[in-house]
Amino acid sequence: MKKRNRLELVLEMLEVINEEGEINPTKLSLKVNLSYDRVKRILNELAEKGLLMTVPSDERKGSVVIALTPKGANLLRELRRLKSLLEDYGLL
Amino acid sequence: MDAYQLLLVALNAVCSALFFYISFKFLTLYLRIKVGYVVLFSMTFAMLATGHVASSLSVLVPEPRLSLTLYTLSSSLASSGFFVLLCSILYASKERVFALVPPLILIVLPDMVAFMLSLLVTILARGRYLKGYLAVLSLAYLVRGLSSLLIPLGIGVYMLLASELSKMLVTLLFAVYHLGKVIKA
Repeated sequence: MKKRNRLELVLEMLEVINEEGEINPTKLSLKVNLSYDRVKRILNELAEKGLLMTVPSDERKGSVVIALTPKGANLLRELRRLKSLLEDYGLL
Repeated sequence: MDAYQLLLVALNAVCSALFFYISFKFLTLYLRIKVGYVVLFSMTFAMLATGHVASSLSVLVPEPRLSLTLYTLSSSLASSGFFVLLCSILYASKERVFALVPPLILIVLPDMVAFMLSLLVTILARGRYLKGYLAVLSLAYLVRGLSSLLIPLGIGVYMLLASELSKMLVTLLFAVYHLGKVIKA
């Protein structure tokens, strides 16, 4: 598997969160095929910037899931647009 | 101003506005996700945009020396911009073939051409003093060439100042040495 750079990881994570609506970090780490610690670190950074929010899980009492904030959804839209330009230069 | 010049200025203005916009978009992206090569990508477009501003001004400015300076500045900014772009591609990519590109860029810079020619003359020249002078001169050109690429990093300015000063000092010494020979003769 090709080694993904940080931008690719962020984009992939945001895409999965957007598709799922709400997801817990463990499931996310499995979906993006990345270690839980690495996923958690990136999630914390994105949450600090107000791109993600944590909400109580409906399925499991006491646990939390993550979801995109409007700012995060906006970033995802922008990343999709800029992606093709970055791909053209071999940056993605 | 004739129609051709007007067209050039208009095209340059449109290009610089578009490049500044692209640069701004990638800068805001960087501020949100902090990926190093994205800021380098943004810098590339900022340099290209500034280069187009300089190019426009070179047409508009009536003073010939200033116009020439701006014209040269536009190509220097473009070369620096593409160099930064190569850095960002290298940063993001694992492809080793890209490592060959920066040396190729270096070779085509005028200062590097001066460095290679003066180095060749150094090798061919006879006489200790002449070889010494030419060696320092070629080194000064090398440092100046490298400095133009490193200007965006800040250290380039100091390298440029050091190369200019060393070149002037050694030229003075050499002029005095030659004068001595001429007077003796």
